Amino acid sequence: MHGIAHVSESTDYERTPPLTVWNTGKDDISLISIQKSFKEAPRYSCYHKKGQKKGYKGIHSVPYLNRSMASSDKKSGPTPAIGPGSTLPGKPTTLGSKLIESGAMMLQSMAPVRQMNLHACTFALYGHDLSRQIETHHFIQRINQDFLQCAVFDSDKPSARLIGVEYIVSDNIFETLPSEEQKLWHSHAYEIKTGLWTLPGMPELLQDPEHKSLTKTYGKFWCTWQVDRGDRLPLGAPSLMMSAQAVDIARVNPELVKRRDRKYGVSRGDAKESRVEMAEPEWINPNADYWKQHGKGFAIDVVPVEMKSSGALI
Amino acid sequence: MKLAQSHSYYIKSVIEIESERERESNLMATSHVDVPGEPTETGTALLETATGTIQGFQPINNIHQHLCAFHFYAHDMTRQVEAHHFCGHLNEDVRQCLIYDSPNKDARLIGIEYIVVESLFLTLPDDEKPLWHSHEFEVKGGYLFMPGVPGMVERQDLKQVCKTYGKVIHFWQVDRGDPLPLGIPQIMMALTRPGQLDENIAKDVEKRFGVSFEEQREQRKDLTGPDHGIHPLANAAGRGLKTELREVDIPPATSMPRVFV
Repeated sequence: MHGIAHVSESTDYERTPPLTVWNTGKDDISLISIQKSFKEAPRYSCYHKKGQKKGYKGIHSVPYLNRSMASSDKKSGPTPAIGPGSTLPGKPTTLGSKLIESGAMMLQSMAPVRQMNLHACTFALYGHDLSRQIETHHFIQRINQDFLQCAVFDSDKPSARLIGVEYIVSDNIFETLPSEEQKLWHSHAYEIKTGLWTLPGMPELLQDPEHKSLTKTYGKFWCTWQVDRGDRLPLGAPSLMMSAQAVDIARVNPELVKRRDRKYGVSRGDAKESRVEMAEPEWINPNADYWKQHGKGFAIDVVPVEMKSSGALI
Repeated sequence: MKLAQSHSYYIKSVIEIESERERESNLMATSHVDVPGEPTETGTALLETATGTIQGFQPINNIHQHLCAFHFYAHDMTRQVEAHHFCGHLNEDVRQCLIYDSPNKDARLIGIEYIVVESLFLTLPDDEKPLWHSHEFEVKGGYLFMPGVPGMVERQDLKQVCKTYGKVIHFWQVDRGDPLPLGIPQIMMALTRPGQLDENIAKDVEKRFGVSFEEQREQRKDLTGPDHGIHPLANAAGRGLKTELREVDIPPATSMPRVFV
């Protein structure tokens, strides 16, 4: 299997990651070539030849810990981790694994995951680039009247990829948060009232009570797998997500909505109409949807630091 | 055949499920700070019971396994968290897990882990590899275990897990008593050397789950780690990693739709 990397001449990257090309044969791994992308990066080599004791050979100095991929990087590194289509790399699950899993299921309680009893389908926008929009499937557990926690997937099929976590709080709780924290959150009123948010499989009328309480909530959504970027594995730092708003740059692409509606036999237009009577929050905290007032989104960087330890633990 | 043997273990253990489950329901982690908010209203609860039965939950139903392990913050080894992983296979080589702070009904969802086999780890870009950690030490050391599953069955799976790499991100810093998920996501690391795990946390988990890490260590002697050894870039290349928040300009409304190559 080859881990081939191609040099990209594009200046699209803000910062180009260092490039290594690996040939991962059955018995050995050899480093074919290495290219420095930064003047300061010291050379390193990790390889061993066929027949020699397995492991990574000595290196000239401590491996250079470069800046890791930020959540806002436009394209992930040039390796097979990103490829045509977004198919998952790897072999199909074996019977052995399935047996182990079914055994575990019988013996273990799985209590936390059994608490999720609400499935919502909606759309989210990348906090650093609102033009990138994804359909999301939230599997939600209500902790109390003011707080919900959601596991977010990219579809509702068994093959769905876990792409992040969202937390939802009521406006009462939101108002107690410090303003620096509030900036990371988004409001839900628009996406619910305009029918973007829907509970698949539930008649619209039955969805009403849930929506009434959720219209006034705020959410904080971290995306850990940027599948729309073509990443075949979860790469980079988590990305902060935002919600659709009644502003041009934050309206969801109608094609995405149409596709979702067709899949579930729902109509966003109808949902919007039936929710028109729903009470809107009188006031949405201006710290939420931070980009609206400030034209700035957020990205996450991962930077190398000295590890704090108790001294004895190194 | 090994699998048939495992099956007979399953049958035997099924008989003990009830007492096991009861014991597990009393497994509270250290001081549990309540999440702020009013108790769920009856109407809401009723509706959610309905949705729970009517809607489809296939991605969640794919989660079949509970693993308990320890994570520490990638910039601070002294802050350690007991992490309950609820995992499902996307395929033989990739797993995804929801991480909770306890195995109970009121557990808080605190993070996510992805687990990939060595061959896939090697295809990751070099600046991605430091975000991933190896599992060899914590599996061989006995610190990673499947609560409620007999050792022999557990080892069938741990044989595979020992050779994998994981990426863990936590969103809720429960170890510092946060009542809500505040702040930015944290990259987490796993145990890679003896002496890292805090003694008290270890003893507490051993007691609550009725396991002994030392015993497990003995029984897992024949497990082996990644075929090519632990990659030097994994585990943050032996250093620390910290996440930082940065403001970015939002592209103007008139930009062309993106095309991803």
